[in-house]
Amino acid sequence: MRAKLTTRLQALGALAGSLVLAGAIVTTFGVSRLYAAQAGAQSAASGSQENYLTPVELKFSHDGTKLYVVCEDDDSLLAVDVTTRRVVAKVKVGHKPKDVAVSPDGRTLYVSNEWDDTVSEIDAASFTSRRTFVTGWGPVGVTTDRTGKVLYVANSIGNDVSLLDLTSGAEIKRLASWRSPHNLSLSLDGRRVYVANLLGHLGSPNEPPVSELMVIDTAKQRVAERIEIPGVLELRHIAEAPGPKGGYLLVPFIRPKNLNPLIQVAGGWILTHGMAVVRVAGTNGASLTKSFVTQILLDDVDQYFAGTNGVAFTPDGRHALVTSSEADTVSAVDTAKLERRLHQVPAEELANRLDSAREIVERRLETGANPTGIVISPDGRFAYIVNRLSDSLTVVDVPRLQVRGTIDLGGPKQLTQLRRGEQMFHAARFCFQGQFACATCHPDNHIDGVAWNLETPQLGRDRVANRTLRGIAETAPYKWNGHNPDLETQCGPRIAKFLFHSEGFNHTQLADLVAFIKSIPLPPNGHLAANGELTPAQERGRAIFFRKNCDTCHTPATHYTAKTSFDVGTATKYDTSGLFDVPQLDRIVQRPPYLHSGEANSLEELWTTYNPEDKHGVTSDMSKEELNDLIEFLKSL
Amino acid sequence: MSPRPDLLFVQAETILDGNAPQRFPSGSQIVRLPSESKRPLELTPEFFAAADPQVDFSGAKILFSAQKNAGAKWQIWEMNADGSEKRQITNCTGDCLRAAYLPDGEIVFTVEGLRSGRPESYLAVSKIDGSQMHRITFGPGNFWLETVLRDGRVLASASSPLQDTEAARKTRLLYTLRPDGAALEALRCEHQSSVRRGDAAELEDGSIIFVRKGSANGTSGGTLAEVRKNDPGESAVGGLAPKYRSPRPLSAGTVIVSRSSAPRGASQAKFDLYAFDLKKQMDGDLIYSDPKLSSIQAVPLIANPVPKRFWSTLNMESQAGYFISLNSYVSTEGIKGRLAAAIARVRVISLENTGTGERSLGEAPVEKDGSFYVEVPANQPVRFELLDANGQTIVAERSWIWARPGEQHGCPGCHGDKALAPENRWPLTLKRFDTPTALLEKNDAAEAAHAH
Repeated sequence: MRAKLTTRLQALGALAGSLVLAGAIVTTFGVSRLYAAQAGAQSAASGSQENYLTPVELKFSHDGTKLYVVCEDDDSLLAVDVTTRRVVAKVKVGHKPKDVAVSPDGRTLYVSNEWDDTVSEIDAASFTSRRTFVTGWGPVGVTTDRTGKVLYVANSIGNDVSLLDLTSGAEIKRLASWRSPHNLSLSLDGRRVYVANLLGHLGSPNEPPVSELMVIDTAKQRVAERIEIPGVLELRHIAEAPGPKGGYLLVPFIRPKNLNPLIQVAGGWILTHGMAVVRVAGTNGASLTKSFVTQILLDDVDQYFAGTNGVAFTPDGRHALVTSSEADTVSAVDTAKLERRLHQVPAEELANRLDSAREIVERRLETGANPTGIVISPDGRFAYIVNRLSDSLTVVDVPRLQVRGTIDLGGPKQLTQLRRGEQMFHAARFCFQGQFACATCHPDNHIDGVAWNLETPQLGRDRVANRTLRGIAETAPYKWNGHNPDLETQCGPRIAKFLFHSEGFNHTQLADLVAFIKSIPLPPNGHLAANGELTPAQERGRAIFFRKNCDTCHTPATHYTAKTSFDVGTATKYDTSGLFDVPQLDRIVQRPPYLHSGEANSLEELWTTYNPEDKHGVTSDMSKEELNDLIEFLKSL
Repeated sequence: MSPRPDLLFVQAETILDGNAPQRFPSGSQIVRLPSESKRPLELTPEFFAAADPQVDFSGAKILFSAQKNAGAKWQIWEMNADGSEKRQITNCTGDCLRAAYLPDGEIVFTVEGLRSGRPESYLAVSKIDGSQMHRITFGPGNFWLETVLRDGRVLASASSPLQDTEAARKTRLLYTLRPDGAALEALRCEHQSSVRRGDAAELEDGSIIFVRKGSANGTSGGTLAEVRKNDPGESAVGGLAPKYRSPRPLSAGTVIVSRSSAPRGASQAKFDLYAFDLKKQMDGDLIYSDPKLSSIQAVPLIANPVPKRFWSTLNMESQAGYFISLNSYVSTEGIKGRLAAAIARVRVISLENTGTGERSLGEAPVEKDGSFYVEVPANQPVRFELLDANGQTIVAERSWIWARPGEQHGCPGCHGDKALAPENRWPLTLKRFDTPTALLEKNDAAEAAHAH
């Protein structure tokens, strides 16, 4: 399976290379149609998922005539003419592009390539690639500063922000972020770059998560503030309110109730969704010396709007439009009513109130599948929403708050099993009152970084950390207790009964979903050299790994799992069994916290804090240097 | 405008309020009014009384309740849409009526009978062939089935509070529960007394339309009201004249209602079928009127979406159920939604199965965060009293609720605000190793401790 996947990816890379040339000549409507025909032919020939575009983010050209759309499964950037509503140009970029920034003069575009650790520089006029910049690991969000001389890049795997000199292309510095920085936004006055993080702080699994909004001073190129947003996860976008009453930020989030026993869904028992209203110190006159955060929900009493994601203000600041990527909805928020609501209800209560949306949401509109990013035209007439799993844009008439139409971006029209499965994965409708989808707790097919108090035979016992879905096809059995022999068991009636508290997936849908989950690949590993050779430290760590018999349970031939359970002394006093499924070690460094309980915040803590009796390998006799080497080896996996 | 579908409805000369088995003293029949026709076809001539028509998911079969002869017990029946192939489903010793289809070949219905000489009604579920009939409500309150919601929950009406008292009978609320009897809760917490809510139906957008009656409305009908989807409260629909019965969805934005033609307060009102425009909140066209007979309980003869199915989490071999309160301080009975007094313990009171009296099952500690977790006998009505450190009652819940075998019944607070989601907090009661506190038998020790 792994070999087949590698072959597929290599084939995709070859295809990408050939299409860069095609993209270079695509500048007119006619060529655009030619390009679409080529893409369609390739789609029909292979019938595979690689041909889907999967648009994920979009930005306006400064003159308001074009939309630049990033397509992560097609490794491309599209230009869409907003008048004709057609794709007019396409250029191939790096692997898994995630975001695009437009230079202040509008002539240059910068596309982050998450799986290449690069940024592609694109000439906006010719729609050709100029240069490629090296970034940190897993670049996602990008923005330039006001001068256009510095590019800020959020490195999702490196957990930092790269500042690139756009003249030389060299990295100026990296600023440490918290976990999985995701989205960047330049403030309207150009003095700050805001950084939203997907995952919360690594803290105690017994406390609610805390997420971070980082503020970078663009003049000093230093971190000005780290604003904590308590109780929330998955900050995916940032929008700054314009106008005299503006200045505040809206940051969509989810509020997990992972510490509560998950015995029901109704009443916002497991998850709620909303946005943080952030007033950043120093932005609203001298009086605001400290940043101030309030939270408001976009859910209703009987219906939830899962996956709050993209956000954009109208130019007059009267409305903010927020996408819910797992409810296939965009909500139009009346900002005057939002302000009133913020004053009417105490902040500590507002964060949990399910009756705010009926006060502040003026309209809910249906989008395509899995809406993510959203932009509003400079004249305020139209909003464009990127539908990630529909390969389309939804066009909203903003003054009327009505859907005006859909722009087809291309891509195959037939849904493959994998595509259907991915849509299931991102659909909250299978949960009671639409409260959450698989993707809600597995953002980007990965982890949410918290431990959940699932419904267990003894309530409050056996709490478990979320596990990644990346590269798990051959790592059965599943669950921390290893009780689920396959993904069909893991995702079938068990999910419907104990998590969704609703009907769940039928047989066909389950087969599609499982096929998709099995197809989720591992991301590249920046810790391993391109030629696969280990560094001296990694070699030393490898020797320790085998000398200490780690491979007895973490068997290399099976993704470093023995595919069974062992008691290695990691049970807490709240566990009813000490037996836990041996986790695979592929990309282990990318998924803290560790252990079934989520108590170990680093690999080192596994042995220095949570292995007092040497049951998890004899590690008490290891020196600091040996531990470091072992960690270096694990990072290479 | 699309043509009106065929309609099913009930015709009766006299319709009484209240006690359901005697609601048609002169008998009744189910008729079918074909589209484009003004002459209804009689479907149930072999019965003294027939009522409560419900169309199955395919639109081909009709579930109904019927009385063979005057004074006979009501039973649940099924027939084809043309009235052929009638088949008796239940064989109840009491009266079985007001049935609705569930997914997976089951039905849910109301059972009326006597308990210790007093009238009692509860909900039961059986297979479509009448087998495996079992009760799903276990407390007082005289539960009547209203409908099955598209999300799979059962919508019922019952007294408020859930007690078997004359005072409680004057007020009826809408409640939801799962088809296995778990997760009972009020649809909305309305505190206006002496208002009886019922005759409810779900609209296409998930809102619930129903009839509100005051205690003095007699047989003249009631006013229309609605729990709009996502609205934490209920709101009036149309005027305040108590003239409506049985609103049912007809098409998008329109319901079909039975409207009284008699003056307000008349003892013998006659009901005719009208369209009612929900957007304009006013009566529409007359759909059908019989010169002598009332027409009620109209439903379109069309296929209906199958409600979602719940996977039951119950363990029927268990003798116990569980209640966990995350924060008992959260209560609409406190100032600003929070009880001020320090809560030390919770007393759990049980209603004897004979219905004759209460007894204390014992007490459990309430943690500083307001959480408690108790194990109680399954299928037995219980209520809760919050106590201070001196054993004095801070708040006493009046409604009797229950936990099904193995059910983990969660409460965010103690009569909390339904629009307030719980905080994300590991309840202290779950960090203890002696919870759930077993309150399965009378706890003499606890009572003795507080007696001193």
